[in-house]
Amino acid sequence: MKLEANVLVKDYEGGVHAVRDVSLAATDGETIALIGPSGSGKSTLLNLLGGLDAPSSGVVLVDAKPLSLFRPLERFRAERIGFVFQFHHLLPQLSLRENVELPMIPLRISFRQRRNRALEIMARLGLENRAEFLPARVSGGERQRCAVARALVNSPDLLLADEPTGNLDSANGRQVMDILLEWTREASATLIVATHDFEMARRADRRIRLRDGSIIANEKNATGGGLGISAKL
Amino acid sequence: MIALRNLYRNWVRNLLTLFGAAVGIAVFVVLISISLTVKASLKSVISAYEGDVVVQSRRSATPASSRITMEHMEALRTLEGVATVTPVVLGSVKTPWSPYFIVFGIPETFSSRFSLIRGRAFREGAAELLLGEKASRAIGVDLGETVNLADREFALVGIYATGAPFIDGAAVGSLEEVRGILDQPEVVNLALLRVRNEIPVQEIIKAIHRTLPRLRATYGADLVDQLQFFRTIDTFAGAISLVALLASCLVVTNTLLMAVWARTREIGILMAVGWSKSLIVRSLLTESLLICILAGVLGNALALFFLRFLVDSGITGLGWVPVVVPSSVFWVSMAICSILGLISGLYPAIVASTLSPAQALRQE
Repeated sequence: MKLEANVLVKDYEGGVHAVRDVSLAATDGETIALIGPSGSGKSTLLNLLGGLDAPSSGVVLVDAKPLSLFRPLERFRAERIGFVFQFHHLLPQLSLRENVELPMIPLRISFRQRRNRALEIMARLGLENRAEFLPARVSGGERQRCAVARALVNSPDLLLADEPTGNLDSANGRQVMDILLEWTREASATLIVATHDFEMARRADRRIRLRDGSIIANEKNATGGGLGISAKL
Repeated sequence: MIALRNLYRNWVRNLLTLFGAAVGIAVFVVLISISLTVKASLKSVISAYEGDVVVQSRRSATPASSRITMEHMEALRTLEGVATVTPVVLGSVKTPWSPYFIVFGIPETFSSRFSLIRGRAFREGAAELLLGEKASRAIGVDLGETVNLADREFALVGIYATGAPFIDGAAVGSLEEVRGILDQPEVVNLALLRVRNEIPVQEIIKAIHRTLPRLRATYGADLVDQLQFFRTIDTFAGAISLVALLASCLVVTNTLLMAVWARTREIGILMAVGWSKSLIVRSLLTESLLICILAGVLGNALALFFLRFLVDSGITGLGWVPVVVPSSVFWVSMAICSILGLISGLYPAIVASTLSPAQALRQE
């Protein structure tokens, strides 16, 4: 997926400028880290790129076509975008497997296929023994890995992760980041991750630094980014 | 899947909602069941007599309050085209087993119209009585024993079963003796007319209205529906049912709205992973439908329990209250529940579907 954002602006009522004149481009297989303090506009930018929110002005292009022209947008999201949030955002009343199946429901995938695909991706993420557990009965790391499985289950070509390791200890955080990077490499997908964690940001191909809704630096990683030490899916 | 889990998730709140809605449904089922059963029973009385035309006094709300004098009866007999005129007396007497025990008085020749399962027909002036099967069971008397009605002893000579609870919970005696029990000499309650084959029934009805303005004549089959009493009961039952169903609807809507507000972020998550507005609407409507259908089943069970309680307690007349919910009432109530489910869930579902995914995800 070729993703472009052209002069994106997002203002909220009360004169809050969440995103100001942000332009960026991402290509297949590229990983980008959005870094910046809280309130710098990272989450809002991810929401705009993923079509969860509409910009006040500017445009998001996917393969040179405005995102707003993909109809229905929900289906586009289900098929091509995977979201990972800081607080896993699993539905507490559903088992981990059922949570992973959620993005397949709007695509009218049969129950049997949904189940098989969910179990397959969960096995790859080491959750095969937790499939029928409720989120409340597994560890924070397992919940976040389940959230990653949910994001990956439809094989998206754009992964948007909003501080996916922000609520995890360093070992679990590294594991989740390994999974995301490995997937990006394997599937030639694009990963844009918002993070406070400089170590995580160092592993991306590119770092975009935000402050007060604007890009103040857009730099290629000198080390070339990558999996670092321990990624194996 | 999600709808079911959501019901279980807030089971206390949903159970209370379910009970609230079920009570509304039960009120509807009880009122309609009683109205339908009593009407069906009365219709079976009319059809048993094969009355082409039923005559009662014009201002009477029920057959029991109707008064037809002997002069009017004679005038009916002399009408051109009338083949036979059968007088019927009916009313209720207070007894130890029922405060409103129904007694019918008919000519001896018509007692054969009641399907006797044991014994024989009564004889005029012999202080003999027929009892419905339900009544004989409730009173605990058998053939050869006596039954005391309004301080008069009657020999039980026959037991009948018509299948109509209202009739089978009553007694049938000779016209004169029942008039004596009910203390209404010189009047009868109904006159059942058979019309000669060559004469249109409508002509007879018109003639009665023209020549006897104090009487009201109706087709035998239409009598029950035209009784003011039943019209009032139907209106009353309809109004109470409407209020009860509306209250049920509001209870379910309120619960679902609370659920939508409590689950705003979850709705945002579903939107983020690709759920369309219509899928979210469908999920909430399913939840609402499930609550209402379960409330329907529970409401019918409550209604059955309440009807049995009424019958067993004996505070109503024998046969007035059905001991089962007619299947037609059950299915109509379930259909109403389905419609209620859709109506109740619609507004919460629309509220949920209009949420912006980003805003919903930010919700604490």
